Amino acid sequence: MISRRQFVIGVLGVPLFGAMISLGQALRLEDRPRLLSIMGASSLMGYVKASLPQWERQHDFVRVALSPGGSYAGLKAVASGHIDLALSDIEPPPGYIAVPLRRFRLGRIAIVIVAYPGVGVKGLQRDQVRALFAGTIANWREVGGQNLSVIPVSRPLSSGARQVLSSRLMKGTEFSSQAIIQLSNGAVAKTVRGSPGAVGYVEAVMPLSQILVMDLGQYHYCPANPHSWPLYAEPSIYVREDAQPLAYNLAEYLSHGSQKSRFGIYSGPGEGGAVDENR
Amino acid sequence: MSQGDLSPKTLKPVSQGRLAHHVLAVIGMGAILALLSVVIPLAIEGLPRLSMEFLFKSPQELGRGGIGPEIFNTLVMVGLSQGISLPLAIMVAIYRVEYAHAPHLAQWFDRALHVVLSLPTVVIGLIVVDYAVIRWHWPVSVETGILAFSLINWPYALSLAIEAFQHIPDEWREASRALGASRWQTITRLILPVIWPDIIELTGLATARLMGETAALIYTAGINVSGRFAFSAPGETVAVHLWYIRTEGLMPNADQEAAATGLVLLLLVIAVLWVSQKFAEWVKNANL
Amino acid sequence: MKIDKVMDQVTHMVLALFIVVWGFIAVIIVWGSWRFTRQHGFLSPILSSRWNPLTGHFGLASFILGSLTVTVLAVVIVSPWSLGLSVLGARILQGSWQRYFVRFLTVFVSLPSVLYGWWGLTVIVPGIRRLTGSSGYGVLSASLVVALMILPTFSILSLKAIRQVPESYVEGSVGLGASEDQTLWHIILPTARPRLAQAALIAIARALGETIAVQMVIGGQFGRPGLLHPAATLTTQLLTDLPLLPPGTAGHFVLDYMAFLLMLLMTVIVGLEMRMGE
Repeated sequence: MISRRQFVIGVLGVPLFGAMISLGQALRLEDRPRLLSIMGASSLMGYVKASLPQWERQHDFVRVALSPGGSYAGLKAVASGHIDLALSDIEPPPGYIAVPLRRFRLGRIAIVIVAYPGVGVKGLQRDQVRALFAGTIANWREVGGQNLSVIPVSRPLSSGARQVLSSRLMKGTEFSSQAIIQLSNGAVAKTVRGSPGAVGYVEAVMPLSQILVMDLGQYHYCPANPHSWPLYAEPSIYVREDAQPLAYNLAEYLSHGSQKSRFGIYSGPGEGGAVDENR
Repeated sequence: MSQGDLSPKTLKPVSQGRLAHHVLAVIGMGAILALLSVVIPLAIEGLPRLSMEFLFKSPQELGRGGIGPEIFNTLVMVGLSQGISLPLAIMVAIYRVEYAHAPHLAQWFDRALHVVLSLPTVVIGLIVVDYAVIRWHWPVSVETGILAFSLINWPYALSLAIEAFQHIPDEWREASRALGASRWQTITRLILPVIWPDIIELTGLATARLMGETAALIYTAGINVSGRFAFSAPGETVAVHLWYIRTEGLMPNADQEAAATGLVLLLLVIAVLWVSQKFAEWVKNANL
Repeated sequence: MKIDKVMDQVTHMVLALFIVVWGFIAVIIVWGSWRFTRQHGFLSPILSSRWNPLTGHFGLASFILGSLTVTVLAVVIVSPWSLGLSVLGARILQGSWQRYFVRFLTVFVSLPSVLYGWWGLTVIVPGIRRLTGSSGYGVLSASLVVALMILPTFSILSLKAIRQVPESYVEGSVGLGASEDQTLWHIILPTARPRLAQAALIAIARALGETIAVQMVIGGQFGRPGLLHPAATLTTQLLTDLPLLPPGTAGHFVLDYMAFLLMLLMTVIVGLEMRMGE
């Protein structure tokens, strides 16, 4: 049995544990490299990862940590001050954020409807796409294609691309409950490429090879000139109004980055690059 | 006839009655082939990409980079978290096996330990994010990753260490105590020297398991690496890098890149297991 | 002995630290799920299968069902294979081959689950698609991937169980004229049964906790029951909706509740495991 003294010592271990944590906290406040953290939409991670090394070279004493989590988590975390920059495909829903944020627009990313190359259809109307994703069209024959059953592929509720598609294209129609859910752009593209009859949507941040990019109505998606494409996300960087100047500097740098076009980010009409805007 | 020839295995009194053995052997071979089918395509696809450059250079988003910093991060994080959690685990194991007197409490302890062990690592990641990152404002970095690693490894190493300690029969302890050795002397002079090889080998197992961990690290250690190593800098490990390339990787030859990364991870795991086994054998022979 | 007393206290303190840390984690989970159940009830989320956290519907039934189906199916699929491997390793291979065999399996125990998921995407999903004409993503693919994942663990443990059968039992049986097969079925396996069951339960626990490999092949949401249709499990849904419900949002505590349910299931499994060991 445990003796009384041992019990006391065991209980004393608890404050010891607390002391260790606070010691760790204290060490953290000392002279260490400054740290900025970024969180948010995973479709922008490639661009940010590619742009960071140059910025870190210019600011020798700063490290930037990147973690995924999606647009919602990024916005929530930047509002509560846990991170410095949030990457978001969507505007914060009304009432979601209580503190003032400053928004740095990155531009636009086209969202394209992709399908398995053998479906036998080159273009779709908006209501056809809606019906395909809603599950009311079950076979590609019904839109003039091959005899293949339709496999809709979608993203989770936390995805910014899904939000854009829901509001711009689905217009209140629910996604089919039979749809396959994939966590990321890349996974959607791989699934669609490999599954006969699959249809999905991806943000065009990557070269889309071996996959059929659908025309939408009279629009044709052309990677070299995406400006007229009607479906797009408007990714932005959000920073708290009272953030440190370094965070502003990084957001400014990212919103003007020279590598944007290599990651499918283009500026919308009438926007000369980034526009600051108070919310 | 010598004594050895009389064992039932060499005698094979009824040579007909082995049909089920043959069937099970065939099934077992099939299982081995299935397991090999996981790694062989990986090796075939990844091997051409493997080069010194790939092992030491920094990653590049659009291909032709390396995974040098990731390998370094993995080694540092796994090594340090073993350094933290292994002594703690051995201490608890010593208490559990050598000191615990109340069988009922010990049973409850074992039960709780098993539950903790089977907890999905994503849950531990969730808690580390909730508390370390959000409440205590630890940065998303190598040190937070080490915290998550230590939490994952502690119960695992503990269960392995308990198993190792229980290999020692109680008679040894009784004999040692009867000769006048104190409890601690029994542990340090008798038990630990005998089970060091076991512990080393089991540490290898635990290390290999940590190397493949992804779910708990994505949100705690981040998914990028910084130019120079620092404990407060983000620390992507090889397994997380593999996960990242498989999901968001944009390089034109992402599949090959992922295969090569997976191959490096596989080789690291095999190397750790091999080294720990050799080291354990060496320690065992040195004892004799 | 002075060192004795000191070390006595040190081990006590480390034990206390261990209990405090893990007690803290358990309390976090229980407290979070208490906050959730106070709002939504304890049973109603388990009984409903309507899941839409944005509109406040937290039905977990389909995820629990998914977790249980995948796990049970995986263990059923893997059992004969594991029996084959363990008999191969313990009764057929001789001498140092046995040692190499265990080392070979150990490598696969430590293989990262991402690699198993990848194997599922390149081998299982297209295979199921070709055989059945469905999309290939679904419960069956997930069970197959999990089955292969737990195969090495399960086999090593059952191999150890078979080895623990005293050689004298085998000699006795063979001496009485039983064939090797009869010895295996009537002596070795019944004697090893409690340990084999324990091995199965450990494998079940591992299958239940697997996240990433399952997520890659299961399809992600529950539409209609069936082995070939997409589904989700508690762990995959936890991973999927972690970004949707960051700390501070209304539904965040449902994640704690899901973790709590997983813990509860694990406790049941461990309870069974302990009973087997007695």
